Parts: sequence; structure tokens; C-alpha cells
Amino acid sequence: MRPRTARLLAIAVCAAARAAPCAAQVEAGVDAAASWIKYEGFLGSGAASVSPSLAWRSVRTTLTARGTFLVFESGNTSIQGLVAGSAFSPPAGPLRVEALGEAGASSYVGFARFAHLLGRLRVHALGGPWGAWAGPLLGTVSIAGVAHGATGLEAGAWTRWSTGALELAWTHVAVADTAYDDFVARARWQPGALDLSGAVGSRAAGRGGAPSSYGELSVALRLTGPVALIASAGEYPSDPVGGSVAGRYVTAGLRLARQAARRPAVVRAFAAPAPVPAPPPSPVGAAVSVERHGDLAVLVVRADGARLVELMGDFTSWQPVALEPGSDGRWRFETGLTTGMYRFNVRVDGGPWGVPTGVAAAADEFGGSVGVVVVP
Amino acid sequence: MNVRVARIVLALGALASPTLARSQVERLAGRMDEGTRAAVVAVVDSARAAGVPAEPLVNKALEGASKGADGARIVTAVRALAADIGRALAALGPSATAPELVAGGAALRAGVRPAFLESLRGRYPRESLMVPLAVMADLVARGVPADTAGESVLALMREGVRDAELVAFRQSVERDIALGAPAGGAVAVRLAGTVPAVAGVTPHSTPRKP
Repeated sequence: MRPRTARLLAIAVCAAARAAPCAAQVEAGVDAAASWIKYEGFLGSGAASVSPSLAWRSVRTTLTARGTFLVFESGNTSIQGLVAGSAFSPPAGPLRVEALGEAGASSYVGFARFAHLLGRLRVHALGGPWGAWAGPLLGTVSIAGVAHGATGLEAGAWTRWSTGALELAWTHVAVADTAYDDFVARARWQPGALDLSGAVGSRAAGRGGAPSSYGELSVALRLTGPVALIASAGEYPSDPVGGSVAGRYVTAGLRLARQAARRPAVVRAFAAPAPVPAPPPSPVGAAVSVERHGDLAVLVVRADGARLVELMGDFTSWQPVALEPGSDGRWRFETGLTTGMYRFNVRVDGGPWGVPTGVAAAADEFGGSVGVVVVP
Repeated sequence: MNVRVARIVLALGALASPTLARSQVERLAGRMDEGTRAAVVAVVDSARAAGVPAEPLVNKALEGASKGADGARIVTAVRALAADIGRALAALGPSATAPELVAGGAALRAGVRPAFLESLRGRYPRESLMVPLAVMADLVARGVPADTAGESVLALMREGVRDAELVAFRQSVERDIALGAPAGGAVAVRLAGTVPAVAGVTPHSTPRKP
């Protein structure tokens, strides 16, 4: 890609990032940064970079494209681009199969040219806040116009929590006359406006290549709207598949992006099996759940230590009704509800009417809020 | 059946069930001043003639009365709900059930486009859309962009996700938002299946070169 093309691409992505919001699964951004770099076998150098990116995500598929255009102190330039996609199978119990493909190319001052085409197949086991995967990879790598086969195996496991995730991965790759194993631990933490991520790894070379240890740390601080401050530093190994030499770097710059420093969380769990933890304490001091009794549903209110629990809603003509306490400390509205969407409020011990936890809350058009329960 | 014919059929249906409608309106007696009651009844009658079910409108008026709202506010709320349900009726068609219309009205009020409801009905002409529409409305109320909420629910429906699972999906998203996740991101996270494994670790601007 020529510099002019790169500039146009950057402008296009920038415009996309500033456009009116479309579906949230579309993310676009551009990083503009200044770096100091020391590539293996080269002298250290300053560089400026522009890195546009675009991602589209749906339930089963993800498509991403990104590129980097670098200008070094010497005036030499480097350009690289990557297009990748992944598609998931429907879940089969805790298992899902993912097919991934990527195509990338890079060049440096016109003489070092790399390209690769890679396919991966992963079997994922998903357990809500954790997961694991394993599978093969297969592709071809073009180094200065000469094609080589690339094969490998990879496996990993991850766990996530509300603001971050940790992943451990192993990859074995054989390209041309080089084979190596990478063991990498990656973590990401997103407290508030910060997005911290890092990786440490170790390479054990089987043939060709050299063993090494490496690590990278990056931070993005969302400033305002789509703008984030980014900084990163570290050391990374050579990448025979992607076609990059090992290097050390320090980078700082700005990111303009939809969901600037807050990308979707690191690892994702399929919606339905995700456990819903006990709701936090409600302002009204009660929590509601729905019990099914055949075709009917019964509202059950839990209000620890309460002496009186009342409810009013669509199903009581908005007249307060005192609930009967059960022997298990729960209060039931025994009138069965049929399929529908119902609005109601609850109060405990004669306090204010409010929305208990466990149901959706909505503005009630009368200056307050109302609980909304959906009976499927 | 075109929209005009459907409306005529609905209107005839509404007129043919005056007893039911009367019993709904009678629930208002003694719950608000006579002027407010008369104004609400006028709105309900007008809406009913257009095929809008009376029960949710009467419930809205009773809710306002129980919460001590003044008459003008009650009438405004009832009129707004009638308009929302009327738009849902136009979008979902005359076969829509009352719960579907209520949920559809909530979704439209939340910001979901009528065209989306039409396309949803087109895709699922026989299934009840009450739960999908209610989940959409709630997601939007949680801050999820309306288009995202609609497309997300539609995507799950295409996967064969059942109503109870849609409700669980909503709860999961709500929990993530409560824990600080951005609304749109929470949907994507819960929706998407698995790993873009720590995809942000290497910043785009990492100055790798061949």
C-alpha cells in the first residue's frame, strides 16, 4: 500500500469513528503515535505511526482489519495490513467450534516483503467465567516472493472477572526451516476509564530461531468522548508468520475510536448459560423472583426481616395488596400470572413504594419508577 | 389484508366487545376525580375504536391515580401509551396480541424503529414477539443503542434462543452494566460467544516492521 493510500485509509477510518453511532458491534478507530524503536540488528530510531482499525462483530462472526504505516527518522517507511475473520458454530453443550482465517502483508522500504495466509480451527469449552480452547493452524507464508508452508498447534485457557481477564496460551509453529514454541500469559484490566493490558512470554526454539523471553505493557486512558491517550512499551520476538523482526519499543500517542479505550471485554461468554448472581441490596429492601407453576407464574418476594410486604401493579388494579408470608421467609403473590408484561411496585413495612431487585426498572411517567416483569 | 382493512376489522371487533371494554372502564370508578375519569374514558374509547386494547390504558390511569398524580398528568400518560400501542399495532399488524402490543409500544417508546418491528413480524409471523420486544425495550432503557438492542435480540432469535433464555440474556447484560460495563459493550460481550482473546494486548501502534 502506498503512503497516499494509507493516508486515505486513515482519513476514512477517522471519519467512520466520528460518524453517528451505528450498531455497537461496529468499531472503528485510528491510533497516531510517536515511537522509539530498536529492532534486532538495527540501530535505534524514532518513528511516527498511523494505525487505522475496523472491526465488525455479530453473534457468530467477527471481521477485523487493521494496518500500520510507519515513517522512520531516516525517512524510510514500513507498511503492514491484516484482515482477519472468525466464525463460531452454534453451541453444542459447553463446546463451540471456531474457524479463523487471516491474511496479512507487510513491506519495509520496498525490499523486505512478507505476506501470509493462515487458517485456524479451535474447539472451545466454555464454562461462564472461564474457557479453554485447542486446535491446529495451517497456512502459507511468502517471504520475498518465496512461499513456505506454515503448520502448528495451539491451546489456551482463560478466566474473566467483571473488569478484566487472564489468558494463558501455548503455540507451536513450524515455518520453513524454523520451529518454535511460545508460552504467553496475557492479561487485561479495565477499571473505569483505564484499559491496561500486558503480556509476558517465553519462546523455546526447536530448530532455527533463538530462545527468548519478552513482555509488553500498554495503557489506554479515555480522555473524552472517542479520544484516548495510549502508551505502550516492551519487547517482542520475531514473528516468522507475520513477517516482523524482534524489537524493543516505547510508544505514546492518541487513539480516536468508537468506544475509545473501552473495547468489548477481553473474553466473552455465551449469553444464556451465564449465571446471574444474587442481586445487590435493593433500595426498597426486597428482591423478586418468578416461580413457574405450569402455565402460570407466581411472584415471590424476599424481604429479610420484614413484617409487612405489599405489592400493587397491573394485576391488582394498582391497589395495594398485602402478601402472605411463607414458612421459608418469602412472601408470595399467589395469583398466577399468565404470559405478559406487567408493571408493579413493592413496599416493605409501610415504607416508600419502589422497584425490587430482580426485575427491570423503568420510569413510570409519574415522576417515579416502576418494576417491569416479563412472564414468558 | 391491508392496513385499512385490518383497522376496520379491529374496530368492528372492538365494538363487538363492549362488555369487556365497559368492565375495563368501570375499574376507573372511584379512583380519580370525575373530570379525569371522563377524559381517560374518552382516550380509551377512541383508542379502542382504532384497535388498541383498553386494559393497558386503564392500568396506566390506575397506576397514576395510585401514585397521586394529578389528572392532567394521568391523561397525558394514557394518551401517550395509546399512541405508542397504536404505532405498535400498525407495525405488528392486526394479529398482534395485547401483550405483544404493550411490549411493542414499550420498545417503540424506548427508541426501536417501527420498521424494525415490521421486519420482526415479517420474519416471525406466528411466534409471540412479546418477550423479544420487552427485552429490547429494557435493553434500550439500560442505555444500549436501540439498533444494537434490536439486532442483538434478532440475532439470538435466529439462533433459536427461547423466551426464557432471552430474559436470562437481559439479566446478564443488566448485571454487566451494573458492574460498570458500557451498555453497548455489555451486549456484545454477552452476545458474541467467545474469545477475541485479549485482543487489545498488542496496541495497533506497536511499531513492528519486517
